[in-house]
Amino acid sequence: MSIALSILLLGCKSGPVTINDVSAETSTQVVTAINVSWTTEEASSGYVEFGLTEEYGEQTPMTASGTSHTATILMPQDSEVHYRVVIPGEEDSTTSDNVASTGILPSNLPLLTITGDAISDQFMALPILGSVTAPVIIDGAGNIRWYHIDDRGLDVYRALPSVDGESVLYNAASVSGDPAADSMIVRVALDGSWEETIEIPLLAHDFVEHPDGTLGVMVTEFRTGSDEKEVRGDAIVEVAPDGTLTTVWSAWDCFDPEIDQVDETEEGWTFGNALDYDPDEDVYYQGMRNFSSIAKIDRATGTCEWVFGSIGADIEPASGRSTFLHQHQFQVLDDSILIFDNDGGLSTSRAIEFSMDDGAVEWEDIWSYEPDPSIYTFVLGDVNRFDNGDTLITWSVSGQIDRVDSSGVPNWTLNSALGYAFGFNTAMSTPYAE
Amino acid sequence: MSPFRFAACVLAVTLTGCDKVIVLEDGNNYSYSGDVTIPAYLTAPATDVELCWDQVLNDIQCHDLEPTEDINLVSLIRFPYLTEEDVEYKVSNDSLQQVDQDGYVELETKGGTCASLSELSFFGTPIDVPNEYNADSTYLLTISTGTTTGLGTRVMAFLSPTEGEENTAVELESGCGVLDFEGDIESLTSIPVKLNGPWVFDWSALTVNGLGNTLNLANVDGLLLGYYAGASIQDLQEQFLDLELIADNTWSASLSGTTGFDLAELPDFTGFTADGTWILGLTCSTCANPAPLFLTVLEPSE
Repeated sequence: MSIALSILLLGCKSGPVTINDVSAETSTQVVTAINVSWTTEEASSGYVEFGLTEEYGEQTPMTASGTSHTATILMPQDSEVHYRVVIPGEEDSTTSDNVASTGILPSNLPLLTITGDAISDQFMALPILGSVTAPVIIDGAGNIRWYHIDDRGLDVYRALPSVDGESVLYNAASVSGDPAADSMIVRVALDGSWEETIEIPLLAHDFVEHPDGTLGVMVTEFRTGSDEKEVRGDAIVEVAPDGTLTTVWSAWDCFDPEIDQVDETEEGWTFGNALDYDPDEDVYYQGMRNFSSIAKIDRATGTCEWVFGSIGADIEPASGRSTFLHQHQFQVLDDSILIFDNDGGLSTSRAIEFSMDDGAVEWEDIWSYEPDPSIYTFVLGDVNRFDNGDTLITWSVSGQIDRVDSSGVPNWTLNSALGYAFGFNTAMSTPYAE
Repeated sequence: MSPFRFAACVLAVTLTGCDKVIVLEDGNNYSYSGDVTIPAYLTAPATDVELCWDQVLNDIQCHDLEPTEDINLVSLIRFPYLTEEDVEYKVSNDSLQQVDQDGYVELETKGGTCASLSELSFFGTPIDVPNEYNADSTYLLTISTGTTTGLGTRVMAFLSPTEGEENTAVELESGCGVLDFEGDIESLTSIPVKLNGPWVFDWSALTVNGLGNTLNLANVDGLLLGYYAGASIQDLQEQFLDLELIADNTWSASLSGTTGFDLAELPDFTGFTADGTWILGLTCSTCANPAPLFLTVLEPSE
């Protein structure tokens, strides 16, 4: 399906911009992706407005300056999509309305149902696990906008739109039993037309992408202990845009297996399971399941600025109040830290928030949410706080995602069919990188 | 118009004109209703149980099976809040959700016909029988062909840990009788087709399945064409779960991501005959309920 047209646009103060050769083609690899292409006689940057009506409502990222452009629309399956090309100027230059269509999703992707009103500016990038392994991008109505079915036989824990807006990154790894020697970071084009892999042995649960495209990835690290037994810890390895690998942190930089001992050694010593990066402070945050602790790590020096939680911690939850156990994802906010607490509740998992008081050796819990009936998420799990105070809680292995307001009232719930769980969840306001 | 209806139309135009695309509508679909009755085996709670399936000789669709060859995966799902009746209803309605369960363990049989409950595990973590197998929850045991989680279920049974019960051995029985469905193929609007084509079908307009529930078009992953030389519509109606087995000839195709298909693409299908009965079905291998999503009668003529 290709619609070609040429439109002369007049009236821009910076001069008329001619938008030529507009065409749209639905991807055969990702049937919910439509590539819109156009040319301009002079170098320009533009984007595509799109939606289910001529009101549009969504737009692609801006293209790089040039005369030949392609932008990828992501929309629900089986949709008639209205779109037009926009060249911003003192007065925007636009094409007329055009229509293209998306296809039907592969049959092994699950039907997702929502309770509550669809939320138009909520998108999520996350892996579907279980009966199929597929990183996806889902909109606030429960529609899958992007997908890639991974058949490597590994698990996928994190999916992340790349900062350049052209692809989705995910980790293909294994964290159950021995870590996989053939693990990798996979980069797939939004239209599915190409795929690149970065092979990194022993990848763990999580990774981040820096604003400059550098990847920070968690890997499992083995060292021999004083008793000659193998100790399984973690490290953070960076992959520069040119492919250079650098280890920037090791669990041994901050902890000692002789001192920071754990009761549960089945999955190793620290068992890191969550990673975040703050470019403003240039620090990593690493969560460690077996420690029930989260560390703030200076990227340049590898030193731990603080460790909050239980084992190895210099800051603990306030005594006599709620704590957390075997946590997975977390989000460091301005003055608090939000944590997905797998085992700290009474036979339930929960989201819990602690104030971060400078200089204090105890941080007090200030908010928590437990669903009714309770949900127990024995692995994975994620939390994301929105600007309006709502919190998105991903009960990963239970195939449910709740959005609750600050008073703990759910206003949106997404469920998957039996057999389909979720990995970690990256919340976004558009289906593209933010 | 969906792109695949559009594509089918383009194809048909190439052949004979867009009006030759056969558009399937809800009125062409059969209907069925009925119950799922899953047998329950009472056992001692918090105690390991020996499970055997060597006597399972047919499945829930009453199709024969060979335990050592056809049973490849044993799975146990725990439902914390659903009763056995709730689970039966949701299986028949195909509405079980992941959040309904709070525990899943499995075992690849590798040709074996018995296993202990404690051998079942997930991601390398075995079930903690003393703490995780108790009377507070509902446990659905499934045995399946293939090892893909959630696919190929052949037989279902409840394990019911019960206070005071001392049984620690379960000999699973065959699956025939679990499904008590009644289909209605007589009331549908049959579809005329040309003996020699074209046979381009488009089902993008379907909105409900045979149960009357909303149809997710992406669930359609199989097409079945069956020919029955001597069977009446009534005969087929009584055996609508066995249409593949009782047919004199069948043709099938795996589908994904489409709402259209040209029967000319079916291997070895050379065309219709005016005698006998012809059935077209659309199926879903990932659905808990094995009944076809869509089933209709084709009426070939010159």
